[in-house]
Amino acid sequence: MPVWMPQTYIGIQKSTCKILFLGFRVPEAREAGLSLDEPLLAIKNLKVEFASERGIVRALDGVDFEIGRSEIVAVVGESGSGKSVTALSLMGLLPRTARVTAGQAVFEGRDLLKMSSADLCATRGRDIGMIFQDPMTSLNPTLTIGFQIGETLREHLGFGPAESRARTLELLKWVGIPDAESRLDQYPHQFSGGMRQRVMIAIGLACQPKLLIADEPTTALDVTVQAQILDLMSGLVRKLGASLLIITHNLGVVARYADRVVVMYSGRIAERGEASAVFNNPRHFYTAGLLNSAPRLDAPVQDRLETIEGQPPDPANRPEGCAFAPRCPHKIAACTQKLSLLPTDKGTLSACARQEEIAAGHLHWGGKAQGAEPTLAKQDEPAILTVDNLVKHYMVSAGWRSPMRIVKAVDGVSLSIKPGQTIGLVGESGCGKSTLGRMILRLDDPTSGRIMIGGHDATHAKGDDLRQLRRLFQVVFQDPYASLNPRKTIGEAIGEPMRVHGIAKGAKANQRVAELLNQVGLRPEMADRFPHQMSGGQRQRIGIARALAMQPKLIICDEAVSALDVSIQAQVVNLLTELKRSMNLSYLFIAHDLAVVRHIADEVLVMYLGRIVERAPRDRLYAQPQHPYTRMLLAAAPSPDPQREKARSQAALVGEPPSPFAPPPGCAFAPRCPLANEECRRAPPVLRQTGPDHHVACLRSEA
Amino acid sequence: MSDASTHTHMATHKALSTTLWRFARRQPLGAAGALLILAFIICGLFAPWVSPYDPFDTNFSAVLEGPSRAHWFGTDSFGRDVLSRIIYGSRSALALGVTASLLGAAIGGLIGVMAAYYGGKFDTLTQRLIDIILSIPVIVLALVLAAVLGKHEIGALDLNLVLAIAIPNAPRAARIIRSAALSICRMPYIEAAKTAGFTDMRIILGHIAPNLAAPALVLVPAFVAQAILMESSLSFLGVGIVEPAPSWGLMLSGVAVSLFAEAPWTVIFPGLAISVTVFAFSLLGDALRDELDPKSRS
Repeated sequence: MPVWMPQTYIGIQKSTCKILFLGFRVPEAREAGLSLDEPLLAIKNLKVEFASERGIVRALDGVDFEIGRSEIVAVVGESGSGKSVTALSLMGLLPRTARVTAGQAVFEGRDLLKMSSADLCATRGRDIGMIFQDPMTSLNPTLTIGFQIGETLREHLGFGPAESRARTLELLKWVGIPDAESRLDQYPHQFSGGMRQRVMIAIGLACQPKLLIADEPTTALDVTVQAQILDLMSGLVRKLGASLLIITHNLGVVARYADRVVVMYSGRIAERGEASAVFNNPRHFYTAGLLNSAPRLDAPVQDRLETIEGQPPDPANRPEGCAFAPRCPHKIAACTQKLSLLPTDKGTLSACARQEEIAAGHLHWGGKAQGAEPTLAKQDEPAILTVDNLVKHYMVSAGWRSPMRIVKAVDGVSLSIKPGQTIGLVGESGCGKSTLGRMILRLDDPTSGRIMIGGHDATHAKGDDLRQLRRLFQVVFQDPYASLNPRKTIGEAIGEPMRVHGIAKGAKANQRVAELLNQVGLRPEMADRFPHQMSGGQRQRIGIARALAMQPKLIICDEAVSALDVSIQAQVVNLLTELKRSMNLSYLFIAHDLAVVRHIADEVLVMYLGRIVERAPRDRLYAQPQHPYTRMLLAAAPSPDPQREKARSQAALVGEPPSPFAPPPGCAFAPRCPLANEECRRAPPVLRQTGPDHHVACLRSEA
Repeated sequence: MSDASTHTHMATHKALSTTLWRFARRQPLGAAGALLILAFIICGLFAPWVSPYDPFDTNFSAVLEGPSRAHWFGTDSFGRDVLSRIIYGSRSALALGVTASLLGAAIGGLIGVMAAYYGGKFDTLTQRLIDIILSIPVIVLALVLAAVLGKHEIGALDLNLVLAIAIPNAPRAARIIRSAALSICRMPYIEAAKTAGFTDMRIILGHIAPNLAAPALVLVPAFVAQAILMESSLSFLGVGIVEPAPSWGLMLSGVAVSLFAEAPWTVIFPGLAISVTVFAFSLLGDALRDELDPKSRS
């Protein structure tokens, strides 16, 4: 989400024109008799600049594309590519520091960029709906859901109270919110993330807009919920005959839903055209690289993920020619000149200077990587980490009148990791996987159970004993921005643990810092820089170097790559794999992305509401998932392959993870499970062995 | 002295002057604040040479005279030169005001950071204690402290008076710093420091405290003003600085206020002195805050 808009609901209010409402109404385009062959929205040569401390930053540098009627268009790109700026400029929601310097956005014959604020107000929310990324901040917490949906109706269609209530009710049923009548008067905090995004869709579609703009609509949601929301959104848009503009970084989302795709890189369009043509026959090296570096569930596990080396250019200092050239393995002299989008053999448009050579099959992205075997645990070696029946219960009060309740965040988890082994721990948000990691790190105290690290009991270690034990295990956190102290240089961040523990001192420590920076693929002179001068991927490498400084045996990676862009994510996954081999490290790799886990883990544990529901060696788990939840997770994970995605059935995905405040009796997954019967609802099933090293906590996994 | 050490000495000297010059170039307002504070310090240190008259010299032939060439800031009800008294008063204002506010902010800040870091019972206990202290009017608390502690003068500075002013201010510092520290304590980089096996003191002082520079540097200038005014109240109540010793606070209280209509200069100039000092500290504080933020160095 853009930093300038921390509370998106203000943006929403603007987009539904509560703030600037002046009561004008634009003449209907349909009445104006515009041709239906014309595109609904045509963006022509859009240029947007930001004034920053470092000078003028050209966030958009000539963007052209069209959205037809009843068409789903996806704009894909990594962070900084300008995809969100495109959406915001269409809605007139650009921050004050931004300026549209050129271009048009013609919506039904009228230029959105030149509209008066009154006209824009009448268009936003009525003809153009918008859905933001974060459902947690997109709704105003002090107003009821019913009021917030009804507001759009009252504002734009002049509905009265009764009328708007009836229509709101209908909308809530449309977006699949059960028990709509009673939920109308509830507040946003009483809804789950998925339900809030459904409410956002209801607001976006309330006036039956002609265009719905969704900016990363499912990025903040769990994978099983994400698929449901996208299905709902695209289904409703198709039913209404509206057009949808999805802004996303997730190639799988594009493959499943988009008719056409626009690939953006550093403020320009790299390639655009029919989704299937672009995905099957990319004619730009950036598209090809992006498709190749996404870890996939439907391709063999590779030794190394394909990566795009380097990082996106600084938008304040972008090369004049192809912005991707510095990272492109096939760049030639022509790439330094200004390139325009040209038609390809597949009917798409590409800005690559060598697209004809790609089309002729002379050039390919990268080489064929080798298959990788999982590291087999040596049976005789003692485990580096053993977790025995670990439990974490929290006491919470739901309100001042209700009694204290116990939330079972982690409810009896056992696992062990041998030297050189990687255990993947997969689950959706709220399943307790991070709490488990924090207990192993001794950042949270377990309620009961035992943690053994390197043969020492770490469960209740304190003071100096704990500090000594900490040398054995380190952590890499999710957020590369928050995991480094902004006031310490990179060298200080990496060197301090060594000095404190007496691993290296003085000049030797500085030399060690330089070695570590080298090891994680950074230049030693970066030691003098501050974190804010580094990119997200670089910071994550620094986090890894800091963990390595202690020469640990075990590193706990808590969603260590999930905040990174696809091309950077692949680089970091490869780095972790290399380090593991060269230093015989063990990882506990906590993640929600099954595809990433598949590329790094030797054994995978699937967690649901505080318990392990399935445990199996990597290849076995992905080839023969037995727990219905594992199957659901695998079914929900989108892959960047349009044929596969469009063919897949979506019926299997239902429900959302239950609230840990009120877990269902018996098997926690039973309410969402297609196989569940009465027996499942009686007592939670225990893990039982169903194959070699394969354990499943399900009574009906054979059914 | 050997060549090498002279060289390094010169190098550090040069480095310091370039750092100062760079600071002045980037933060002209901050540099102005620093210059003002420097001017007050020089005035205080060299008061006998700077001031035109003896601040204790009464002249009953020139009582309550307005600003003139002879008395730039006029004279008070005893015919003493206001300018000279302000110059001498800057001694106690700076020594007392600055030490008391820094001390108060430091004590309170440390308690606040520790409460945020340790949480739990320690947090609850300190917070309730702070509630209790805050329920007592600041001046009453300071009065009691000053009366109970008595005098303990080192040079011209009454240490116990510093304590009496610092302690009542500490709880507010603790509150503000605690709330700022709470969010920092939850940052992953603090957890990373814990997992690196650092001691609590190292984390609190080396990792959390530097990130609290922004709220602390807003807090201290506000406290300076508070401390100078508290000193005047205490002096008025007879437990602080005693007449005829020159003090900005004393000049603002007592008979001067009742004479405001006929002799406003007796009140305006000491008031201005306090405002300018506080303003100077605010300017310097803001500049330091920006300068300490690594994001501003590029």
